[in-house]
Amino acid sequence: MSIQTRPRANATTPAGEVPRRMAPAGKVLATMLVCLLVWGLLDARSLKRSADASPIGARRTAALAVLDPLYLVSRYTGLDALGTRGSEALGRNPNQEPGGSISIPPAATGAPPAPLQSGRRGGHRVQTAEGSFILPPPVREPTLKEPERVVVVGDSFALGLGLGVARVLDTPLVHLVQQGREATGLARPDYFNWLAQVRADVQRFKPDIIVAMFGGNDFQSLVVPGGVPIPRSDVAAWSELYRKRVAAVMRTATAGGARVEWVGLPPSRSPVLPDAAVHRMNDIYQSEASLVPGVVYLDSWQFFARNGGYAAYLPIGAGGKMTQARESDGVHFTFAGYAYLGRQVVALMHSLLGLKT
Amino acid sequence: MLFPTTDFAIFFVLVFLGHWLLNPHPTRWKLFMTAASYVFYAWWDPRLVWLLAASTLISQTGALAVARVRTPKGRRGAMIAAVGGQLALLGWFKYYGFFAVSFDNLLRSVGLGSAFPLLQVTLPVGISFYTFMGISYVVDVYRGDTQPAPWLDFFVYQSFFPHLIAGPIVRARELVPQIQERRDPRRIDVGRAAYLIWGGLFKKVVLSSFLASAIVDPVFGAPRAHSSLEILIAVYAYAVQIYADFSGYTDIAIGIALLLGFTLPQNFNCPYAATSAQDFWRRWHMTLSRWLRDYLYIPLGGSRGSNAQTYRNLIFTMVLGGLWHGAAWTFVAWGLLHGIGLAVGKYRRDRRARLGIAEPTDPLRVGLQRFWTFQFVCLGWLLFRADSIATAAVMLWRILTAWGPAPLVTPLVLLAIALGIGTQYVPRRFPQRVEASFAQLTAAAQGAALGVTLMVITTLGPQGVAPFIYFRF
Repeated sequence: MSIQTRPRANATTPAGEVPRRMAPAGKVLATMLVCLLVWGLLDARSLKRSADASPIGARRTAALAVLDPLYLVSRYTGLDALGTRGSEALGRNPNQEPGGSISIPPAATGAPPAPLQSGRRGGHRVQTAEGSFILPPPVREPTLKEPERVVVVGDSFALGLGLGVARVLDTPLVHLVQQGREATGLARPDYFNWLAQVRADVQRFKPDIIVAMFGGNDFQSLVVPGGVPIPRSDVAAWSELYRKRVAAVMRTATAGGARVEWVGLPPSRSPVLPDAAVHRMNDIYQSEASLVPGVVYLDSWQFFARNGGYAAYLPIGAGGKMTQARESDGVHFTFAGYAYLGRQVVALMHSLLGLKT
Repeated sequence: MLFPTTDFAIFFVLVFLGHWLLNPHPTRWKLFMTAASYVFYAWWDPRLVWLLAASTLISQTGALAVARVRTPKGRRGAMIAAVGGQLALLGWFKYYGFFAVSFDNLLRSVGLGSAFPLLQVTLPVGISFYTFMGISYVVDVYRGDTQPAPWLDFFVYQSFFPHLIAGPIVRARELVPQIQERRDPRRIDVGRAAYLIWGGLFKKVVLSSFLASAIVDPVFGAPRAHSSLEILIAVYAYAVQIYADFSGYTDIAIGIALLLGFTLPQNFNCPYAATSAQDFWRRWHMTLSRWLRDYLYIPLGGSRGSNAQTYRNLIFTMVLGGLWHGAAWTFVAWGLLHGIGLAVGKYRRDRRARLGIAEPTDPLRVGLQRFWTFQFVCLGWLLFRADSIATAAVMLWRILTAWGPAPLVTPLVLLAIALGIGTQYVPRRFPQRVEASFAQLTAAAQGAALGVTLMVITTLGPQGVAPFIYFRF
């Protein structure tokens, strides 16, 4: 039985047009399957890496069941090396910076900041609404030739916060480096190792001040390379390990003499970042900041909570106008929200960290 | 589900297989395609499926009522009720927050309390597109331009996944006849489809993402920290970014539809080669332009009244077109600018006609027209992208006054901008030859070429980017 079809739309070629060649559906399906296979073999490493980074569950298991053998074939045939070299030739290191782009900020010039003294001898302890912190001497006097160097690190909150801080520190006397990475955190060092990244940032940019904002992706099982993941439901073990990771990042960040402003998490309306989780992480940030010299903690909760919890609209506009501060995902800030948080961050830099500009 | 994802690649292979296997069985095919489209939509947020279904029900019920009611008054009432229902959904989800907070601030400024609760309403993806399609369908039935489609056909039309998220805005009379006829499985324009999909992926994943991170986001985020040249180039970069992003997405949509045997209308036609504001709107987001013309400008009176009324209609249409893009004063200003641009263009054309002056045809004059039209369009993009009118004003002022070094203006940024604009001047025969050569290859060669290209695109694009942070880990 023949299939009734509509008339051939391209049966005749208009004048001046190149004749078109049509293909049957079977050939197109074969083309698509070959395409996916070739792409999968060439890009097996990064596809496997993405699958590794996805939430632990059936979907991840299924993806890895397909990608593990594909990756083996890719390595055995050498196609993996071809893909990796291709990536490197195009300006990427396929093993690093999963949230990065091919544009790399220039390294800093000039001398690094004066190193912090260990213990309390190098600074003085101050008491603020957010806690008690050991402060170093103020940062140096900036010049146009040697501006103050501020680096913003963390997850997607830090990406937006970096823009908010830039809106306030819009002067050539400050060199602001945005190093936020989308979809990262301290829970999965197997996917993105923030400790190594902060160490590299300190060496590369010689920052006077580091602004850190983490936690948006961290309320999940903590992966221990070579070990068993610690579920978030095991509050004591989870908090102990997370505390160690936070402290390690703080000590690494201050090791080169930089002062650190650690920004806590705001309330969220997302079920994957409940208030209890935010409080658990904020308590850890705050208590560790009080122990590591040169680190201060900024409680963002106080600026964004209304009636004890999440609020999308806040009087943060010009003249106290109600303005949408949070994105519709219930987690991130709008640009107005980031700008408001940026103002609070810079205010603390001026009052406690001795920012001159 | 977004097109440039592995999820979609797997989804599409399965849908392609099911689509062509069920092609000889119309009812089963329609049920399958509707289900596939709803799965595609639910991937974003399963709760939103009910909204898509509600929008479809309102449109179809309204269209059937319009067709069945005998009296002109009754027909008009049914049409207004259906269009009003669609607009109510759109208004609630897209504009409630904007108007509630604006009204709240107004009342506070005169010492009064809040009038409405400041609720945060999640904007459902694609609502602006399928709402406009639903409205055009009901109005076309009311005007007698089309007949009501059977229920199942209309469900396929409204939810057809290639156009569901970001258009093109397809009319019922363009798509429903294609749904009602069986497609020929021996005649797939694979060359054209591959060119559109892979070109769209490059534009969206590489060009748009690179310009956003390299210059647009840093400069628009902190314009006071950047020099004249950086701001000027960032505005040009945004012009390329938004073109690459939007046209890339719709190119992929049109290409995917072609692989399923459907022809969707063209949505972009080298907009930065336009010689006037009017010409620009014939080339940019063409399906929105004609929607605004047919369902807003002409009902307002179009050019049937006095010159002043025509200018008013043009400006009003474009302001509403601006608001369609989002609830913000910057979009209103963008629409107003384009409305004024169209009105001034009409005045000049009328004046030329009155004085018997011919349109310039020499290359230098045409080139200058293109140059100034592009500057005008970029002024609009500055308003469109800035987070507030005040920020836009700061940027304009700094373009004139903030001379200094421009470290963000790198050769790669300039190359990307030149690529985005330059490709709009490539003659149509060039891609046609590429498409024809590709179509002659064997399936293995085609697949290998596309696989390598896909690897290059994914490598050049940003890594680890996801719409929702929670799903990444």
